[in-house]
Amino acid sequence: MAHLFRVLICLVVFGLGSFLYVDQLNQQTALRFQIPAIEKEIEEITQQNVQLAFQLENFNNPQHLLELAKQPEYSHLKFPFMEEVMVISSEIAKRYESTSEEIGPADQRSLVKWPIYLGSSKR
Amino acid sequence: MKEYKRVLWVSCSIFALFSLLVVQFFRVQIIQGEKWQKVARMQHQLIVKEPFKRGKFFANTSLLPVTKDKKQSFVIDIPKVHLFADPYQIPQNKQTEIAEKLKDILALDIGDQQHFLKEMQHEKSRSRKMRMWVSLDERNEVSKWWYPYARKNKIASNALFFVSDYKRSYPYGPLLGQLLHTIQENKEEQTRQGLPTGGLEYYFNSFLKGKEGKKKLMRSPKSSLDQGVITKKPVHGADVYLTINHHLQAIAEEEIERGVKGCEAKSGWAVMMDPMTGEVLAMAQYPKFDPENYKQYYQNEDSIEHTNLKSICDSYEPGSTFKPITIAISLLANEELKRKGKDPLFDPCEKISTSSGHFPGRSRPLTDPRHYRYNNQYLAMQRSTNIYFAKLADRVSKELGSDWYREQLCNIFGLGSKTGIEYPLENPGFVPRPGMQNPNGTLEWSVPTPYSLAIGYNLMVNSLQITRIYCAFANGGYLVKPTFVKKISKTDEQGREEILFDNKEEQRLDQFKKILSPYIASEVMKCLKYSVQYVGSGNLADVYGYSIAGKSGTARKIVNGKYSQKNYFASFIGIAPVQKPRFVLLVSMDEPKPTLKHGIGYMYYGGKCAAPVFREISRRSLEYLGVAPDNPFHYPLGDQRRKVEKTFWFKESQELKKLNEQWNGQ
Repeated sequence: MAHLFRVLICLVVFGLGSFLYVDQLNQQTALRFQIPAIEKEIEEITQQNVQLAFQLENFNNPQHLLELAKQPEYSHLKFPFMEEVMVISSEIAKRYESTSEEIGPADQRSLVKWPIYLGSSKR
Repeated sequence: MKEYKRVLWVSCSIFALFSLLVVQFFRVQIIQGEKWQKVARMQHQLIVKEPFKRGKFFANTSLLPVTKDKKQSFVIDIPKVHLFADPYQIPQNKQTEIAEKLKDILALDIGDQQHFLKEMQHEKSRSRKMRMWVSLDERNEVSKWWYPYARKNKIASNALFFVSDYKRSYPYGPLLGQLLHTIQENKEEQTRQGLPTGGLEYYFNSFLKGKEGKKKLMRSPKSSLDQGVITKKPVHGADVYLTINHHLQAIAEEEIERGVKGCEAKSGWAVMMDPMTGEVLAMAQYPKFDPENYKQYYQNEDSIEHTNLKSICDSYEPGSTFKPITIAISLLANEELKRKGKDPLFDPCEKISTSSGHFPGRSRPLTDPRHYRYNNQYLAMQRSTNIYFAKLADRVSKELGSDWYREQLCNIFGLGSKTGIEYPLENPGFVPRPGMQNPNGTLEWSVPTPYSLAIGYNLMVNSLQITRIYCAFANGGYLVKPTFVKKISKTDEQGREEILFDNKEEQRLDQFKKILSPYIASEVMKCLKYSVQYVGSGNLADVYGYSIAGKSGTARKIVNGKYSQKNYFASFIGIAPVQKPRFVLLVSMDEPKPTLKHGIGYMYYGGKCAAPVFREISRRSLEYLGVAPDNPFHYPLGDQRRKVEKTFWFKESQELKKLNEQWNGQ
């Protein structure tokens, strides 16, 4: 009887192990089946990205921007003179950020993060 | 015993059969393994070519700190597909229906439907190109209809199929069209390389082109032709980083278009160059060339000339814009004579009589727009008198000879030879040779040639040649080497950049030849400043708030072997700002209409049609570059801030005005 019980336990353990192994294989196969679809999706997203980049560049067409600049709603915008522009390197800006956290919240700071351009032209 | 024998026989037979089977397995799997694997692969797998991306052209964004790290591309390769049909697999009775449906989905006309039908009737062919450059959305629409339709009508699903490709697309439209050019729609069959139509696409083709990859696909109903494993990655082309700034280019193109329309010229162009580095910042031309529709230009005889970049491929007689070069040559002659221990030819302040235009060898005397009895170098440049410059040339050629004169033009100023810019078919221009004959038997260099050369006739220059000479005036005497390229590089999938060609400024600057002494360069610049002031011939080029120097030119064109009375070539070339030059800008108008405009005068003069375009391009470019005004009291008439007596070069101009009154009573 004891022998029979042992054989039964062995069979159950073997069966369970086999089931888990086969189940894992099935899961892997299921994932493998998904790969082509995901690949296709990635490719489509990449292609869409290129399309969007083109559309963005199309909007950023300098001729289009020049046209926009002529609109009355943008008439307040001016090109700053380079001598009035202060360029702060990203490293300095980061250092400023770490010290400013001790000073106070962001809305109380006088400078903003890089890229930062101070001054404006009054022509 | 009998039974035992029978069992033995059966066992042996089964064993023998199994052995045969094992032997056959061994033969098929091991001995002929490779062969059968290949056959299996051929049957189950399909190798297709994976397209590569051609290199891009990037704009020069380094002129401003805000745009320094931005990448602005003039061209983008967009993934598209070509629609193909396999007529062998399409039943004849379905062809009309398929053609009609394709026409509807792709929103085409009846002509295209007929084209589809015609292609499908090539029954022996397995691959007919139905339509090129189908967008991905259109492809999805076609697929959505086709697969159920093919299943329903029992047509092989791959009777219609798509082939991926990249289409050269231009986000900025025709901007910089003539310089960039494009590639032909139909690529090379074997290599799938684009065939350039000209321009930078042609010049840098070896860098821009890539190499196709390979993709393995499974032939199975469940495996879509879109999926597969890339077995050989495509090698994408290298990118070319240009010196052209997209914004300055847009400004120049807009103003050139306005200028050409304003004076009703045949065409017009502008070249903007950094006088210190020789980098071309903008190169505009009107009428434009749209690379996207390149076929239209080549199919029409009238528009084919607009595919050429005239500033490089055309040469012309410059007219009065050449006069500053005559001044420089005369001053070089002074230095040469000083070296020889002789007296100088002339002094810039010397009072020279210009009342007579008679010169040896000329059948007709030279004339000026107005009569001036006396001139010095500055007055002559301001009023653009021809006689004064012809007199200088007379003295130079008499004292130092024709060969010396020509040597200065060719060896010092680099005329008559290509500048070496990265563009195909550069026109080297022409400088006459003493002792050589023209095809009609006349001498290339005759007695009156120096007088013509002095005022910009009898020689041909391209726009780059003259622009770089003005750069030498602006930078203290160095002849820059014009360039369009900052660098050429390749970026891999990990984003690592490999630089293939680096046009480092330091290295290039060292190669520039010093052709003029600082004294000569400053003397010429002084003359050019007078030219833009008040009564100067180029006063319409003056930009409020900035110090400007420049010279206008109007040359008669040769029509049927004679100088025309109606066809002119007008130009203006100037430096802005004078005190710290940011650019040299040349504006040219080809055949402006000789109409009289109220308050301006005859529109064919360079000072009337090209100078205002120079002013507008300069004003907007200086604004874009953030250059602060260096002439702060220079405002338009009526503006309260205007203090004319404090403006740049006012005092000097007033003194010259007094001198003119004293000498010429004007």
